Amino acid sequence: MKISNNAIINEITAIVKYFHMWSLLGWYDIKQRYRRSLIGPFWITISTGIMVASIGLMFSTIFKSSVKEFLPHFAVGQIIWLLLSAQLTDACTMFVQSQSIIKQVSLPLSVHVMRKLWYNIILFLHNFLIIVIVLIFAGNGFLWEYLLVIPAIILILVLLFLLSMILGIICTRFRDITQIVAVFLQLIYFFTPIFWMKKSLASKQAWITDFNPFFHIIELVRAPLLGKTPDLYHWISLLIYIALAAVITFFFIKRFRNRGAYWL
Amino acid sequence: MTSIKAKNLTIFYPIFDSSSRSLKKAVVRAATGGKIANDAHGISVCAIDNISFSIGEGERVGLVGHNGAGKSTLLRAIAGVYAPTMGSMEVSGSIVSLLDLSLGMDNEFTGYENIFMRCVLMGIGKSEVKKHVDDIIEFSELGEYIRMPMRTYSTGMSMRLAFSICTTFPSDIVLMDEWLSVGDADFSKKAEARLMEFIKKSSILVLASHDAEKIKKICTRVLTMDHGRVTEESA
Repeated sequence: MKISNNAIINEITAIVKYFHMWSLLGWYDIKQRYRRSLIGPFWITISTGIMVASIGLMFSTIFKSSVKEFLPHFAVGQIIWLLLSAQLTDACTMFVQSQSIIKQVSLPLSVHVMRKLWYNIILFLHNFLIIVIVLIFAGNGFLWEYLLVIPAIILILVLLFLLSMILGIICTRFRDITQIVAVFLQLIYFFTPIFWMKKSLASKQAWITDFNPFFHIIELVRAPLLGKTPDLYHWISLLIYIALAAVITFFFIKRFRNRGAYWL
Repeated sequence: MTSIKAKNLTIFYPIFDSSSRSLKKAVVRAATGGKIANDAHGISVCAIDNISFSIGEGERVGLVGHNGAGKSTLLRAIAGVYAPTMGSMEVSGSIVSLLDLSLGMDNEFTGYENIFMRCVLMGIGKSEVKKHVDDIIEFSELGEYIRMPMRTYSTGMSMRLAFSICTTFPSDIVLMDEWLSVGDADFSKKAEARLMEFIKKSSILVLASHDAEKIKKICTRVLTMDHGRVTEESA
């Protein structure tokens, strides 16, 4: 039952080697979800758009901050959050969902992870339209800081890939974790400065955000889009998360890669 | 060189019920240590019990045995789905497993889309599929229906499509659970010929079947399985 290091490397190279497979499967998942709908995945743009606009307007009134300040803050935060939470939730069930495939064809697990990740990336890109609209509305024009979003998103996707692999394996074995993750995500949403701003915390309560990984992750995308350079410690935090997740993923694959099919 | 080599292959299946799969049990187990040790790994079933064999090029192997004798598990082990609990399984050559013909196909998609869906799971690239797509459609005799969602098909029609796709791309090793026969009388004659042709192009066939006549006709070697062991081997 021992796994050679080669097999672990295969899980990584599979991302390139099986590109045609996961990209097609992920795309077909989108097609299937929006089958027979006229505008397809743009429904997600519309529903997120309505939510962002209405909550953005309402909370900027409640918190007495200007719409031009609060709306971009909320829109970017919410849309990154949707990517994170959707992918982490889906990761819990992805192996169980693909069980008919896993039980018939021997494929690297990363193919199933990339399929889900690709699905959520496509949805994210549809949501990204809203960010573009909100930024135009905010009227800052083009800022060079925007370019920092690209490395940030790439790093976030790397982290999501690793976390999905871990969650996917655990949740296949222990089905309860799926529910725990859902509850946890619901809770952490309120503790993350998405629909509220960090500056409204007293400095004594700053730990709420400092120990919250989601805050660092979101801030890396949000700060540049709001025209600020993100603090270095956000980058460092994200890199530490990736390193930790990579180590855990490595051991999980080594230990459990071959058990997965038996747990389904 | 295409070959399948199993050495002391043993496969234990863990059987999970909802309780042993739950986290609570695992935590309690960790906390209580050896006390409920009997329960520690749940129940497992020995599906393959210390089997050794070697299949070489050109062989047509039939697996026979009762339900639950371990035939399907063995096929899955050859496909690389189930890793050996003990012993080893070495396979060289490309594998196509025809355990579930319509794997990955979706009723909401058109027949045409499903061709790509099914093929990609066999590891066949888009351009390669495009080359053969007309041939697949023609053989399945679906005609204009190919542009319709698969939910409008009869069972026979979907099977015909799945069969046509699966038998288009030859592979070194073919794994089959029960001999495939699809469609009405006319089609099944045509399908039989195509399947024979498909198998002829492959180097190794492993066929699990209850149909003794079929096995006798096609296979060059028969492994009889019982309770996860090979009890009898005949040529």
